[in-house]
This record gives sequence, structure tokens and C-alpha cells, in this order.
Amino acid sequence: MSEPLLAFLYFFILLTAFVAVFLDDLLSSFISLSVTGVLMATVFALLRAPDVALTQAIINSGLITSLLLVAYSHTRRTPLPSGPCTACPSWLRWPLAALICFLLAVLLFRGMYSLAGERALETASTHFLAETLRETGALNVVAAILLDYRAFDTLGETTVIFAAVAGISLLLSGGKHVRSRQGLSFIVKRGMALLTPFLLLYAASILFLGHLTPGGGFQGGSVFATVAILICVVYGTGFDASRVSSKSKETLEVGGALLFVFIGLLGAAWGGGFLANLKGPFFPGTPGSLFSGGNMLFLNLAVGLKVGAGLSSIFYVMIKILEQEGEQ
Amino acid sequence: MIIMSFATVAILFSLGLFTILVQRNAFKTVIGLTLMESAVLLLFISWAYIPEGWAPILPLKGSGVDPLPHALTLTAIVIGACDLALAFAFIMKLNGFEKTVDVDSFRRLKG
Repeated sequence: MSEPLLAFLYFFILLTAFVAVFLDDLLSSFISLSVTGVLMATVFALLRAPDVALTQAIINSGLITSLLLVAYSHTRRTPLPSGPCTACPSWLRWPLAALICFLLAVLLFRGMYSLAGERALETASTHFLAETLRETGALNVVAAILLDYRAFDTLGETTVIFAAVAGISLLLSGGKHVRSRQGLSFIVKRGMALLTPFLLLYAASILFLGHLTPGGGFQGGSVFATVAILICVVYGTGFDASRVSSKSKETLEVGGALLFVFIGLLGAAWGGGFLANLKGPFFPGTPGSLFSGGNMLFLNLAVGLKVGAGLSSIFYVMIKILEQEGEQ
Repeated sequence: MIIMSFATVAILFSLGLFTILVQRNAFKTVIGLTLMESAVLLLFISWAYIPEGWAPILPLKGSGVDPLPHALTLTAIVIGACDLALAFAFIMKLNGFEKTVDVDSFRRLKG
């Protein structure tokens, strides 16, 4: 890994972050933020974290940007009231905040400086790197940690996604879809029709090969959600909503969670404990083949269903037009 | 190398906090939140990096980098996306009441 390249990337990360913060035009600052996300994904790949780089590239620069644009287009922004804010004047606000943040940066750097230096792996990490193949049959150590050693935490995380979807649906309930049947032009529609099978294949390969290569349920599910967003943009909002109802998305999401718990209970019924993998009824298989790593393939499927259905239903709830109940 | 990463983390985190403290636009506040989150992720990943280490995909050709922070960061990214989406939902809901995204004008929440 070359240091000048990393310095270059860090410089542009900070530059785009400053642009995103201080630019007045909101749309430009969203795009700048998305560029920050892509550069951050590049840095993660350079720092030998391919799983994290994939997730960052898909979620932070694809999904979050599209959600930002949806939220932007569904809000009405009146210009700020002229004259200074009386409650807290800006001449006090800016220097004070700058001072606090400068002190915080110095303090943080001082604290992190003591972390630098020669670093040896802890016992847990050494164990994961050395014993993953024997204990789980998977090749991707990060996936093995997520779905075998710490699978219970992953179940907790899917619960967080469920809570977020439920909260967003509750907040934005009562709206209705705008039936824009037009969508984009004919050429774009044909192009998207040709592209869709390959995009789905890409998503499925990321999802099902998660225990062998970088990827897994989170990334594959996010790509599925991105495909749903693309279809919505290209064919108009009515297209997907009339074919895949929000009810069936809910069913998929709940089905993913239930599949996860069912696999966990299978391990418990076998006497290996909740979410037991090779100690339960699963086989390690030939290392490197699709059916290896015990229950990891099915857990990836469950997480993928959960994340894909969850994120796409967040998007579909957000593009509904809110009934203006506060209007008097 | 790692000092450079830590400096970037410190600057990025403080920049995010500065945005939240100073900017009055709710969308800018969310941008600040995203920047703070990215800073924390970068701290984890750069701390997990070991010089001459390989990506944690078996079989390793030498020593590997630390896989544990990678797993933690992965979940943090997905959860971060979810709570940003929740923040957007709050903005859209508040915007339905007040017709503005200026956080100082959200007076109805007072007392």
C-alpha cells in the first residue's frame, strides 16, 4: 500500500467533506457527500477491508444518497428569516463552536496517538484467523465472525433494522403513491430491462457467496434494494408498487427474521446451543464450494431477505406523498 | 501512515460536530451526522490495519489484518444507514408541520 496515494485520498475526503458542509446549495452538498463515501470505500479497500469497502460503496454512496434526494424532493424549504437569530446570535455561535471543535480534535488526536505504534493481534483475532476454516468451514473470516461466532449479535442487528422500518412506517403513514406512470424515456426503459437480470445475478452472487468471497447478506440485500430503487426511478412509482405490494415486502422481511430464528432453534434442538453451526446439524462441506460453511449460506439468505426487503420498504414509504395534516 | 489516518479521523469528527452545532438547516445536520459516523468507521478500519497484512480471506499468504473490527464496522454501516433514514423521516414529518427545514424554527416542540 502506497502512502502518497493514501494521503491523496485523505486530502480529497477532507476537501469533499468541507464542501458538503459549507456549500449553500443542498443538492451539490449531497453529491459531494456521496463522493466522500466513495473515497472512503477506496480507503477501506486499500486498508485490506474488502467486506467493509463493498458495504460502504453500496450503502453509503448509493442508498443514503438516494434517500437524501427523496427527502430533499419531499420537503418545502422557505428561505431563512432575515435578520439574526435572537435566541443565540451567530457571532457567538460560530467562534464558540469552532473553539469547542478545535479542542475536541486536539483531544481526540492526542488520545488516538497513544494507540499508534507496533500492534500485535489479540488472542481472539489470532484465533479467528487460524481456526475459522476448521471450526466453521468458511473462507471469509469476517462472514464467519458475523454469522457463526457472533451470530446472536447479527440477529440483534436485524432487530434494529426492523425497528427502523417500523418507526419510519409509523412516522410517514397515511400517504399515498403518486401515480407517475410515465417514468423515463423508452430507451432508458429498454436498457433497464436488459440490465435487470444481470443486476439481480450480481446481487445473488454477492449474497450466496458471502462465506467464500467478500460480500454476504447485508451487501447482497442492499444491492437488491438498490435494484428496486432503480426500477422505481426508471419505470415510475406505480410500476413496482402495483406488482410487489408493501404487504409482500413485509412478509419477506418477517420471513427472513423467522428463518434466522428457525436456523438458530435447529442448532439448539440438536444440543449445540442457539445458532450452533457445526456443533448442530450442519456439515462443513468442501472448503471453497457453495455448500460449505454449515448454516452460513442460509443465514446469509435470511439476512439478505431482511435487509433487502427492509431497505426497499423504507424507500417506498418515503416516496409516498405526505398528506399535509399540519396545513391550516 | 496510521498517524495520518488518526489526524483525518480527528478532523472529520470535529467537522461533523461543528456542522451539527452551527448549521441551521436540518439536512446539513444529517450530513454532519454522516461525517461523524464515517470518522468512527475510519478509526476502526485504520486501527485494524497491520503493515504487510493480508485481507482476511482464507487461505492467507502471510499474516492477516485484524478481522474483528471489520465485522463490527460492517454492522455499524447498516445500522447507520437505518438511523439516517429515520432522521430523514423525522425531517419530512416536521416539514409537514412547519414548511421549513430550519431547526431554529421548529418552535412547536417547545415545552
